[in-house]
Amino acid sequence: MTATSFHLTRSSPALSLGLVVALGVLLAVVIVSVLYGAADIGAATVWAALFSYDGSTEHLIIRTLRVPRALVAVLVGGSLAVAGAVMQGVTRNPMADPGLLGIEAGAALAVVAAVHFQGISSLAVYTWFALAGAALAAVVVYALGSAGRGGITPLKLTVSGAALTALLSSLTTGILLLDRRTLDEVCFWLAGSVAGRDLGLMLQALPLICVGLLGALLLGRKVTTLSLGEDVARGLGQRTAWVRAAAALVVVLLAGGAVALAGPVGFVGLVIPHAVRFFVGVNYRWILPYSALAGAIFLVLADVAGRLILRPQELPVGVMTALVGGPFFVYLVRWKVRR
Amino acid sequence: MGRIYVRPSQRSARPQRIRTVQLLIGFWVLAALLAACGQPAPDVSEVSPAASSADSTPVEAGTPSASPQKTYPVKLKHDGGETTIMKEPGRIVVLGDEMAERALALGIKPVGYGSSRLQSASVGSPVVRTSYLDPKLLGQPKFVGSSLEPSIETILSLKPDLILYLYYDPKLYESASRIAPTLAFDVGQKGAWQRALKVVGQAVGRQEMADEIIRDFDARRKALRDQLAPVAKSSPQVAVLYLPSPDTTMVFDGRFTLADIFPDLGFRLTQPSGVQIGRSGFSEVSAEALSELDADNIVTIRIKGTEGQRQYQAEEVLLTLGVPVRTYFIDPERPYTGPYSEPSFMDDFASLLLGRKASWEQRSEVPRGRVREAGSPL
Repeated sequence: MTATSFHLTRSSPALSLGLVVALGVLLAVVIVSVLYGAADIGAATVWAALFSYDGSTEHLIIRTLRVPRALVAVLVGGSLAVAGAVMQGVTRNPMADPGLLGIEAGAALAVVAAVHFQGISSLAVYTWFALAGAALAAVVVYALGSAGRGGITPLKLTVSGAALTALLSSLTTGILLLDRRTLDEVCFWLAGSVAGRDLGLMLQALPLICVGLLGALLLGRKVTTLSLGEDVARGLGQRTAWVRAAAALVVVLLAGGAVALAGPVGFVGLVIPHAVRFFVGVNYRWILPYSALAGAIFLVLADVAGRLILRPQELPVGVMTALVGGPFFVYLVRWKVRR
Repeated sequence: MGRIYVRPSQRSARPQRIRTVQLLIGFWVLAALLAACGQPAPDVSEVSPAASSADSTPVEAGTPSASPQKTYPVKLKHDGGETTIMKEPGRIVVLGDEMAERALALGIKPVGYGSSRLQSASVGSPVVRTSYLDPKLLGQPKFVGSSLEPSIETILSLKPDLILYLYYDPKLYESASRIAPTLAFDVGQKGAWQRALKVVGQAVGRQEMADEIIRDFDARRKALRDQLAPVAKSSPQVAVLYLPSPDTTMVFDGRFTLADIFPDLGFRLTQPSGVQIGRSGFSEVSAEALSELDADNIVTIRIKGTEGQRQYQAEEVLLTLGVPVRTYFIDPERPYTGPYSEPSFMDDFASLLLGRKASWEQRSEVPRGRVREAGSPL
């Protein structure tokens, strides 16, 4: 983070223009995502499928397969990246990520437990369990990370996140081993995939994610202050406890909503905010909207790549993000965390 | 020859996002392993004098002592090597559901049962029921754990004098052999269960029974094939797709154990153009690729219990192709092959292709997968 602080002074008009450009890029990758897939479908047919639907195989593919998955990727990518950025700012931890800190694992466990114990098999109801699980995991990991002398440090938070992830994942695995039917129902969802989601499901998660995104953008300035340190923030008159609580709520809404929609997709929340910071500096008023757009672009591209690499087979998008995110995590641990 | 394990054999706590990938990789590896340890099977269809039997249940079992064909010691060749059985075995442990079927068909009531499919069994407790086997046939064997990683201690405590092992791991085969004489058989290519049945028949002195089961099976297959001949002539191409979850689509060719039934019934298996199928006999594809499918009949296989769920996207695509799409709901506890399962699948698939519902409702003692037709939108 320190290496990029000179960007703090980058001018607002330039950054605003950048946002417009990023929005254009997002639109372009969404179009690419709808145009390319396992089936060869011409641009004219795609256009017809969108505006004069005739029920043919091609039109069905465009409408029920490609458009929903592109939109889901936009939502999930944006949410996870913003959740990651907020977490990194508030906890001053460059390695914060909803996946690494156990929040996605909490959401996943809650869903699997709901399927196993309550027999719930509706993706719509998953959302609420995912949110509850994400919230609980966030509380626990934060409590663990701040326990002991010296309060919360990036290392402690990361270690407690890793420990919690391991614990929650083993519980999830345990339930799945006990109950094959649950596994059958949720295994596709646990892969972290944006395929097979219909628009109805997306519309159910949409309000949560929108509230989360809006909340995050409103918090931008406060997160910037807090990212300078607890003492600085207090010195500037910030009521840090409230900001943290609001930030936690935002993260739970975003990460929980994203997990309910796509299953746990790792590393977006880790990689994107860092990449964004490199361009826009350390001001969260800019980092957050840029993260939303960049996260969406990244996940849409990852999904397109996952579809095209092994065509006509597909790689779940969670695998693609891990391919990029894994090495980046090593880089962060090696160069960014000196403690 | 492949075999789908929906349950992974993991024990450790790993991040969930890679779990399903592990699962898929595990199942590919397993399929490859099974392919590697498979041996060319004799063509059992040669051993088929005409006889008629319309019942899926193999010959009613008597007690092993009623059999006249006992000469011990007997030296037997099997997929694990060569084993000599010194006396008539009385306490038999079976590992693997495919193996269990082979044993039960011969009237063996095992004392121990290892399974990677049973959902409600716990190690050391008796297996009271499975979703598809007659409890009377089964007896109440003790559950010895997953057939891939059985509890050796539980097996030891049962003091078996014969272990029937569904071949998977040479090391496990060795451990089992140290406990008791072990006959190991591959899940295998076509005819694997028939081959195993003959050897196990020799081991327990019931060769004739084994031969009879195989004869009945062949006769039944021939009868179904004849019955289906007009359909196979007018619409020979069948695509078989496995949809284990809303966003997973797998296509099979004739090397896959379940799908190989269709060529037996006189049909040709087809796949979407451009799809390469590995030697395990299946390949996962994007639902979009199904638009490239040229088939006269389409059979989708879904997991039993998902009947109430919405149509999967792959099915929506298939329904636009203008050919009959029939959905079969498969029992996840049921093995894909064996003297009980194969005839049962054969009947159900035949009914599907004839456009009739399978007869599972009438046979409550041996529940099957369920069938639903989806020629028109569901």
